[in-house]
Amino acid sequence: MSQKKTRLAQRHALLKHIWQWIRVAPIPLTVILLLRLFNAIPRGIEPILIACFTNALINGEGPLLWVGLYLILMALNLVTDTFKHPLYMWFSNKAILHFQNVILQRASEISLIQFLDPDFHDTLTRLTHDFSQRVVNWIQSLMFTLQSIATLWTLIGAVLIIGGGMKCVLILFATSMITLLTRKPIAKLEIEHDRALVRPNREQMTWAALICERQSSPETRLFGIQHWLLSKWTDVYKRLATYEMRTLKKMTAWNVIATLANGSAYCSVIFIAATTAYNGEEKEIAGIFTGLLAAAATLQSLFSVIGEALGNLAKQSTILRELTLLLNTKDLSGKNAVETTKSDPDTCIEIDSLSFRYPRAPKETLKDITAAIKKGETVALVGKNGSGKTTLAHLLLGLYAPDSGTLRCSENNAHTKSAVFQNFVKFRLPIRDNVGFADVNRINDDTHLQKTLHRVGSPFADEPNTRLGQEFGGLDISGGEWLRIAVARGLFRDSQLIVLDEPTAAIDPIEEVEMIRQLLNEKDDSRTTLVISHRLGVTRLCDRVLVLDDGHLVENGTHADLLDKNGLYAQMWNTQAAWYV
Amino acid sequence: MKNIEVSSSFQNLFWLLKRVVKVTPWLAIGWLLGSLIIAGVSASELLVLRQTVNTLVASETWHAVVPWLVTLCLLFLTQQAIGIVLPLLREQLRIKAGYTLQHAALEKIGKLPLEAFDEEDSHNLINRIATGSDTRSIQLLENVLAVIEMLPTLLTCIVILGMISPWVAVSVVIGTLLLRYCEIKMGARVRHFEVENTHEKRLSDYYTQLLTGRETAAEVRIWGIGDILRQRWRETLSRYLNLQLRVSFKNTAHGLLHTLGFTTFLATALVIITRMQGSIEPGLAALVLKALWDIASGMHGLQGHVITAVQHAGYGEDLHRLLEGFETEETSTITQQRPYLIQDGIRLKNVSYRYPGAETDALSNINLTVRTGETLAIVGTNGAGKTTLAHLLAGLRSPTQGQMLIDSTDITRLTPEAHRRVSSMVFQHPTHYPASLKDNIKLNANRIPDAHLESILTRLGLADRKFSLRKFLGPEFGGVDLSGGEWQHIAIARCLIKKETQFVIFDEPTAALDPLAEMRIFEQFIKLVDGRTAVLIAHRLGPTRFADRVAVLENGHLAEIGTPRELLTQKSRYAHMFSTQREWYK
Repeated sequence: MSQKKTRLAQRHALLKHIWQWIRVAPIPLTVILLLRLFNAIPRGIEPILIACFTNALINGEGPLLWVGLYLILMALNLVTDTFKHPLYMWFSNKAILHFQNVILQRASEISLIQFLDPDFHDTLTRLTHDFSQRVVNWIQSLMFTLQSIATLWTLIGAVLIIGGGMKCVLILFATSMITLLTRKPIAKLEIEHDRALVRPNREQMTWAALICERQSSPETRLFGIQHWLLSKWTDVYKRLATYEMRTLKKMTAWNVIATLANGSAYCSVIFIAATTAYNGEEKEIAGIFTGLLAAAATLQSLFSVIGEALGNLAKQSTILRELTLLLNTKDLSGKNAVETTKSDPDTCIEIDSLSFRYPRAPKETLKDITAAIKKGETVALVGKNGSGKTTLAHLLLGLYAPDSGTLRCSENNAHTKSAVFQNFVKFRLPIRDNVGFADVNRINDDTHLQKTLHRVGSPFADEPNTRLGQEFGGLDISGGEWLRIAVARGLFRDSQLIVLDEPTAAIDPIEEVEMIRQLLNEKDDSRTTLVISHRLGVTRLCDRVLVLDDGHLVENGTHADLLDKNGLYAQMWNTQAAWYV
Repeated sequence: MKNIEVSSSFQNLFWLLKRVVKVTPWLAIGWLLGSLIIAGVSASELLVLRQTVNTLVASETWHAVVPWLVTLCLLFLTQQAIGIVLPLLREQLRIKAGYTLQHAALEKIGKLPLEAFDEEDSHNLINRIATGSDTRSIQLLENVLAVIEMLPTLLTCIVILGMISPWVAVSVVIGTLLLRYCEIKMGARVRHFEVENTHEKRLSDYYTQLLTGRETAAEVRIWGIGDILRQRWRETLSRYLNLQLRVSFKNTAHGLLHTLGFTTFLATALVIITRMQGSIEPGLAALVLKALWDIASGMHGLQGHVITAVQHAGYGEDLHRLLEGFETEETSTITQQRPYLIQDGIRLKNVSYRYPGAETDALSNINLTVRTGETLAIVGTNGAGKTTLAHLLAGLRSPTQGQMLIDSTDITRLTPEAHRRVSSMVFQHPTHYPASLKDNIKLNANRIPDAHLESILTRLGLADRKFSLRKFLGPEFGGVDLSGGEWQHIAIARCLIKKETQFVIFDEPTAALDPLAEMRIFEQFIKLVDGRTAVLIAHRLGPTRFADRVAVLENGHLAEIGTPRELLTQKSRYAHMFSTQREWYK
């Protein structure tokens, strides 16, 4: 009962979607539909023309009329055919711009945490890659089915006019239904097949990429494992090939049934046509026979293509489930995650028994954290790899929402926070975008842009329109210069809080020192700064140090306090300092 | 210009087909035979049809007609039966041929020297092959095979028309060829457009990537730039799509002209036939339109296949270039069969290295000897050439100028393979293979028993439940996710099981690790070195103090070399860098 209900709901959703698709580009679609219907009729009446032409040719009575008619039909078919391609493209362009827009908008709004789910990410990639293409395929199949149905009715009329009689029509109809019925299991097999191949396909791509990628190529050569990689790739390929052949063989079984039905229909029509012709007027024998045969051939190809189009419709409909999944994914982004404090005007952030667990993670990443950060304070966040530092920073920035506990900020809107990440994005775009993205409203404010770039010591302060990155013909700059750009981006926004999440890990120590000094010493006092770093020398410049261990806040105090306390921080500090003693 | 393109795509297609036939000659012959039989059957069907109609018209008795009708049925059924088997053969051929071609491509890529990845042209080629290897090869092969399958039947129909009057056949052939030519040109125009406008397309794809990528998601949210990126994506893409649509409409105009031409030829054929009216026998008259109809519908099917094949001919071209061009690394050993035992060390004499296409040397005029058993630290700023030097020492690249000697053997007399067998490297970003922990460590070394692997894991302090050998690594495929430090340990384990290793290179393995993890990795480093020659590349200078010697690179030049004590007491660059870093910890 409930299954029926969900199916009904699915149908309803499908209809709603189709209506949307049609609304995207009504003009090209209407033209296509008209062309399709127009195309349908010539194919249907062709057998009549064939019959008349043959008879006229044999009997020498006015064949030129029939030749003329036949030619006009052919030409019309060809001409309308040429128009279909650009018309579909017109529709598909509109569809791509419309649907990709919806998908991309959703993608940029959806909570960051969803991106950690590989299944979600797969779905998203698939949708952005071929959703529009599949909509176009779907519409094409639909149009084709409509055309074929129109042709069918014309054809039945043609058979009756030629004199095949109802018997002929019924036989053709009955057997063709069998052909149609076999399409359903075949479509089901195809859908199953596609779904089963997603993972092996990805595996195969991964192994091929490991051979072809620049980053892994030194290691591949050093260990001489080219053949090992190739054998891994081969294993997956063979597995895929076996599966593909198995599906094909299963489909062949259904095809045999369809072909048997087809064959018997065709054979019966041959006999019916022969008897009809034999019993008709002598002059018309050849015409009737060939006309009916042509009708049978058309009808058969018609049913096999209708079957295919219907199968295609069913197959493409699965993408709807993915779209619905994306559109219905709960939006957890931090709009309501962070509360505004009213109590203490000096406090920037107040964290109260905050806990956080990643979806599907076996345990909590942050456990019962309570702390407060004052306005204008510089706080260092240290801990081992995997202790939860970046997660805490993400929570403070409102990228994740806490599972329990509260997080209060003095002022809470998106523009009060800023960050520089370790894996900051290197936008392959002009410097203006790279920096100005932090505050899109001021992206054309050249003085602010130059001031910020000067502050970080970037050599590109005077040429904000230079494009960066070789990919699109821009300038190729070093890691240190990229970092300056990223830091400029962080500073460009007049934020209350800035998070520096190990931005300097990849540059050399001399440059690192300069960078950190600039960031910490020249900062304005109103800005609260949170620094995450493994280089503990940096932490000494901070007002306070928070130490995380396995998701717990274990230490909280000034550098000197914590060294006296002789806990985890002191241990880490001493380990690192020992290198230089 | 366009004609050259068309003819070269045909050459590439021909080359591709030759290779396919070579791969599985029997399957190819079977499949071709099947297509020929179908053509033969449809030809006989037409001939039988002619006789059937003649008998039907002439004969007085029904009995004379029946055998012809039965034959017609049988022929039809045969055709259908082969029609079922043929796709099975075709798919098998496609899978086998696709396998061999892709295998050959990947094998060749594996043998290319590292420089092939630096050079833009070849790197792009490799990228195209890698990303399109699945779909492009399938598309191309499928369409080419489909075209070949249809050709015999079409030819038969033309021959039948020739039986009525040779002129009919001639006019249809000319008309058909004209249409084919126009299709190929249309396909080539689409390709030309795509090549010309890749920039716009790539830019819009890049915006999509920014909006949907996992790595960019955080910043897109923090800066709230989803809308502006989407707006840019829309502008770029709609510019591209509009241009594309214009090309398509232009193609239509072209297509219309040719359709007109084709119709004229068809008309000529029909008029010729009409001229013969009355003198024609009923059987042939019945065939005329069927044959014409078969040709028209056959061509309709052919059209799509030809256009798609020409569009994907680029894959054939890329593959052709990859397999027939590009020099590979030598794999057979010329002078040395057994792993070389380094006695004195590795010597670099006036060595320079320049990346392909670069304007300046990445390393220039380096004179350096790495003595057997010593630990040499290489330091320097980003871009000073540290990693390039490491690649040279490991045998991953060879000097573009100067001489490199292992003991007294010039490395040009050794194959890269022989050189690499004695060296090992712990990379900054070790490759993550979607495989078990065991496979991730031993890679292709099959002979290593599990017990040995277990002992190595214990030695590295990794012997707990998380590190059971069968554990599958890589969250993308539902496996375990390891931290950066844990991957570094695996990278060290990879070096430890390579028995011939006499020479280990550490390429900044601790850049992203916390202080305690960094310490552990260096403890492992010392264990791993264990009398071997070692090169340590480091940003953080602390650990370099324990090296036997330190080399400072600056802009590709060897600026300083000496023991750490020597360098620290002098007013050296090393001392300056060291004291800057020490400042933090005072």
